[in-house]
Amino acid sequence: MKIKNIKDLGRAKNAGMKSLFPKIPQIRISMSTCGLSLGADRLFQKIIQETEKKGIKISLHPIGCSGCCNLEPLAMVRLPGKPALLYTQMTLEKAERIIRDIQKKKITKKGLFCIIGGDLVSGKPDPELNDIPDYKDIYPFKGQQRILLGNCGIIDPLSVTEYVAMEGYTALHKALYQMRPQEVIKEVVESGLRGRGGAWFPTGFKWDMARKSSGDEKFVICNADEGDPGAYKDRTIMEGNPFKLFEGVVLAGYAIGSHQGIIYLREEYHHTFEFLNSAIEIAKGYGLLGKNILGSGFNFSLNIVRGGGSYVCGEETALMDSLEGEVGDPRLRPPFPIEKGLWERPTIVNNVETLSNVPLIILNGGKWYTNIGTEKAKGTKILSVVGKVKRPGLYEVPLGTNLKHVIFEMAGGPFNGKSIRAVQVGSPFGTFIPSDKLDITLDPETLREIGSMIGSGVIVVLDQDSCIVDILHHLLTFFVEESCGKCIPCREGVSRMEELMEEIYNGRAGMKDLDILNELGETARDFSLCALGGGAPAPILNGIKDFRKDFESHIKTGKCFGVS
Amino acid sequence: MEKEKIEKIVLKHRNEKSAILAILHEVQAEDKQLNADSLRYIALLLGVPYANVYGLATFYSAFSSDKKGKTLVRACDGISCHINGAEEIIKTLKSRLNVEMGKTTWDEAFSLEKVRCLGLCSISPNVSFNDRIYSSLTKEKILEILREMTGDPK
Amino acid sequence: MTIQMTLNNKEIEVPKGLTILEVSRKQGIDIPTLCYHEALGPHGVCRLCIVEVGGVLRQGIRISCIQNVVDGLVVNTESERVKKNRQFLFELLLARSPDSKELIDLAAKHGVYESRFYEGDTDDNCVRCGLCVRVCRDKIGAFALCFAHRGYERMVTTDFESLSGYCIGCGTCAQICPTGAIRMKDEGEERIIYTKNGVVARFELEKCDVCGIPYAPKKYLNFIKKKSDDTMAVSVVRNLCPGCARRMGAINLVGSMTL
Repeated sequence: MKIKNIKDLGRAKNAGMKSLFPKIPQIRISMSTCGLSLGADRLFQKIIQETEKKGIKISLHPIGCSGCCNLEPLAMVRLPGKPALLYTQMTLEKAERIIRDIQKKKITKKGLFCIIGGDLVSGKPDPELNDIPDYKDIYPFKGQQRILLGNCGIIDPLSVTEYVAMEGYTALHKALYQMRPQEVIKEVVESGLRGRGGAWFPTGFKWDMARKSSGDEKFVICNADEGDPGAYKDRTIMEGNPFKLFEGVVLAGYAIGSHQGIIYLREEYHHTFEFLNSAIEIAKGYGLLGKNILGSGFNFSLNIVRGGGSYVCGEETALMDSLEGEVGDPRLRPPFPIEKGLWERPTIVNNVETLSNVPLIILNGGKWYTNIGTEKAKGTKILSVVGKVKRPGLYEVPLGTNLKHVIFEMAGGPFNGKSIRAVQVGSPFGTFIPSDKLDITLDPETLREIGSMIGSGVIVVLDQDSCIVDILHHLLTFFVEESCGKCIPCREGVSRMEELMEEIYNGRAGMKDLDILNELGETARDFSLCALGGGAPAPILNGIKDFRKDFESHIKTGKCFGVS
Repeated sequence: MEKEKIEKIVLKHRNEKSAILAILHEVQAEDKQLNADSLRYIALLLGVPYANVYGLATFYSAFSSDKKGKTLVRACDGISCHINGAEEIIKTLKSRLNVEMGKTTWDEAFSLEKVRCLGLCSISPNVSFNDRIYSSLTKEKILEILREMTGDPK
Repeated sequence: MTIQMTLNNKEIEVPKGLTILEVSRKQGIDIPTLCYHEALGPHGVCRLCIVEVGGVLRQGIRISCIQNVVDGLVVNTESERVKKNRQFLFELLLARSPDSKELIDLAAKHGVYESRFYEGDTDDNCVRCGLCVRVCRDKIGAFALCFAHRGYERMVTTDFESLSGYCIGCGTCAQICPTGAIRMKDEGEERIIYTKNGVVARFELEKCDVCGIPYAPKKYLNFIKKKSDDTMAVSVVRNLCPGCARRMGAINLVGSMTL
C-alpha cells in the first residue's frame, strides 16, 4: 500500500488507530535488544501458546523499549474500552496469570506498574484502577518530556500505520508539498537545534552551508555509531520508532538537496542491523523511501552500513573514510564535510537523536521548539543514567533540568543506603563531578564551566564503593584501545598516561608521577589531531585535582582512601 | 571460504571497493575468521592492493585472523558494566571456560573477547554468546548459563 | 599577491598561499618535522612543527605545516611555550625510537637528550610518520606498504606482514624515512629492504651489460620500462648501471665511441 497523497495518509492513520485500539484484548511485549536479552522472545512465544490453547483471540504486537530497561521485560495490556496498563519485570508465570484474567475479562492487579495515560493511548478511566498511578505521576516517567521517546514502548516499531496514527509522516508530507527546502532549513535554524551526538553544532547552520555547497551529488549520513560506553539512546530510538528517524533523514535530504542517505551503524548492534533493514524494506513498500516519496516526486534512498568495531569511526571524518572503504583515520580539516565530505561531495553527518527531532520541528514549527529548554539550549536531551542508581535508564528531559533532580528523584538515587561519590556527565570525556557539586543545571554553558559537556548525555553515577582511580584507569584503557594511532600526542601520550595510571593504581608510582601525568595530558589535549586524543585527558586531569586524596592514597598504599 | 562463495559475496556488493566492510563482515560471519587467503582473494576481486585489505582487517576490532570457536563469547566491559561487576563475570568466564581473554578453548568450542559496549547499560553486566545476549548478570547466573551451554553440571 | 607578516620579530613580505612552515624554511628558519616532505605535502601527524601565532590570529599554538600565512600574522617559532611542548614531543618520540641516530640528533638539536618514558626496550625506531606508506602508494604506485593494527600497536608493514610481492625494490621508502627505521641494503648480488620487524622484500640485482656490477632489481627496471614511453633513456633499454648510463649518454651526445 503506497502512501501517495494526503488521502492515503488519512487512510493509513485510520488503519493505525484501529491497530492501536483494537476491539479485542491487546498485549504488547517489548522486543528490543534489551527485552530479548531478558527473555522477551520466550514471553512472546508463551503468550501465543497460552492464548491458542485457551482459544482467546488477542492482538499481539511487539513494541520497542521505552528506555526504562531496568523495568524490562515489559508488557502493555489493554482490554477493550479500558486504559492501557504497563506490567514490568514480566515472567512466564505473570504472563499466564494475565491471560487467565483476560479470559475472565478481569484486570490483573499483581505486577501492574502504571496506567499509560495520554490522549492517544488511554481508554476511558476506570474506577477499578483509581489506586494505580498514571505513568506521568510515577518515576521513571515522571518529569520526562518524551517528545523523542514518546512512541517507544507504545507503537509497534515496524508498523507504518501506527506511526502515522501518532502524527508520523505528516511533517514530511508538509515539507514535500508545502515548503521549499530553504523554508525547511529556516525552521530548523529557528528551532536552535544543535547536534545531540556530542559536538553540539548548530544543525540548521550546517544544513544551510551544505545546501549552498556546489555539487550535484550530496549525502546525508546518520551517525548511529553510538560509541560512548553508557549510551544507548540511539539504539532505543532505532528499535522503538525507526520511521521517525527515517522521516528525519529524508527531511534532511530534502533540505540540502541530497537523494542518498546512509545510516552508519555500530558493529556491536547486531539485532538493530537486521531490524533496521526490515524497517527500510517496509518503508519502501509504503513509498516512504526510494522513488517518488509520498507521491511528491522527491527521490531518496537509504541504506545501512555496519561499522567494523572502532570508536574513532564515530568521529565524522573517520566515519567517512570508513564508508569509503578505508580505515577510520580522522582527516585534517579544512576542508569540512559540508564542502568536501563523502567521496569529496558535500555531506552532512548528524546523530540519530538530532535527526529524530526534525519531524516535530517541521510539524510544529521552529518557534514551538524554542519553548522547550533554556535561553541558549533548546529542546530536550535524552540522558542515559547508568551506574549506581536505583533506576538506571533513559530520561528525556528539557535542557536546563537540574542534575541532582535527575539523579536523586528521577533515577532514585543510590541504592542500599550508599552515598554518591561522583558523577561523570556527558561522555567518556566528561569530568567526574564530586558529590557536593551536583546541584547544577544540565546545559552546555554550565557544564563547560566545570570541564564537562552535554556530549551524548551519558550520566555515570559512582557510589562510595567505587574507586575513582580504577575508573579513570579503566577510561584510559578504553581510549588507548580506540585510538587510531595516527598522531603522536594521542598514540604516545595517552598510552603513557594509561601506563602511569596503572602504576599509580597499584602503588608503584611516586607523587612526581602526577606531574608527569599532567604534562602528558596537556600535550595530548593541546596537540592531538582529533577530539579523541584531545578530549581523553580531561577527566584524568580534573580527577587529579578533585580527587587528589584518592590518588595520594593509591600512590602510598596501592589502595583507596579510607580502606585499610 | 571457497573462491566461488567469495565471488558470490563480492558480486552481491557489485564489486564496489567501498563495500569492503560489508564483504569482510559476511565472510567472517561464515568462516569465523578472515584468513590470509580469503583476504587476498577479496582484494584481487575488488582490484585493491593486498596491503590495503590487510590494513583494514587489522584496524577494525570486529575482524579476526584467528579462527573463532563455535560460540563467540563477548563480555561487555563498558563503563556501566565495569562499575556493576563485569570484572567478576569476566573472571568467572575465564576460569569456567579455561580460556584466556582473546583466545579460543583447545576444543574450539568457545572464544572469549571483551567488547565495549553492547548498548544495554541499564541492565549490566552483559555478555553475548554468538548473537544471544544475557543481561543483569551475576556470578550465579553466568554459571547457570554456562552449565546449560556446556552440559557440564559443575 | 603578497602578504605582510612578522616571523621571529622580523617583518617580511611573502607570497600568499604558503604555509607557515614553507615560509619559515624559505627564510632559513629551521622548524623540525618528521611527517612532512615537499614532494608529498603536509600530513599533520607528528605535530613537531608547532609554532606560536598571534597578531591577526588568536594567540596560540598552531601546526605550521597546515596553517596558511595571512596578512598581519605574527609567528614565533622558538617561544618558551613552543620549545617546552616540542621538547615533550621529542621525549615521547625517543621512547619509541631510542636507536635512531637521525632522531637522536634532531632531538639534541632542540635540547632533548633523553626520555623519561624510555623503558629500556628497543622498539622498531618507527615514528609512524607515514612518509614511506604515502610515497609508495601515492608517488611510486607500488602499494607495497601499509599501516596495520590500531593505536599504540599501529605499525608500518607489508600485506600480511610477510615478504611483499608488490615491492619493486626502488628503495624510496628507505630514502624518505626520517629515522632510519626502514632501510635498504645492497650486498653482493642481493638487495634487501627491511625494518626491525622483518624483511619487506628481497631482490636479485641485475648486472650491468657493460661493466657487470649488480645494480638494480629486475622488477624495478620493468616497472620503469612500463612507466616510460618509447623515447626513454638508453639505460633502461639495455641494462646499464648509472655510471655506464652516464658514459653512454655522454658518448651519444659527443657522437663517437671512445670507451
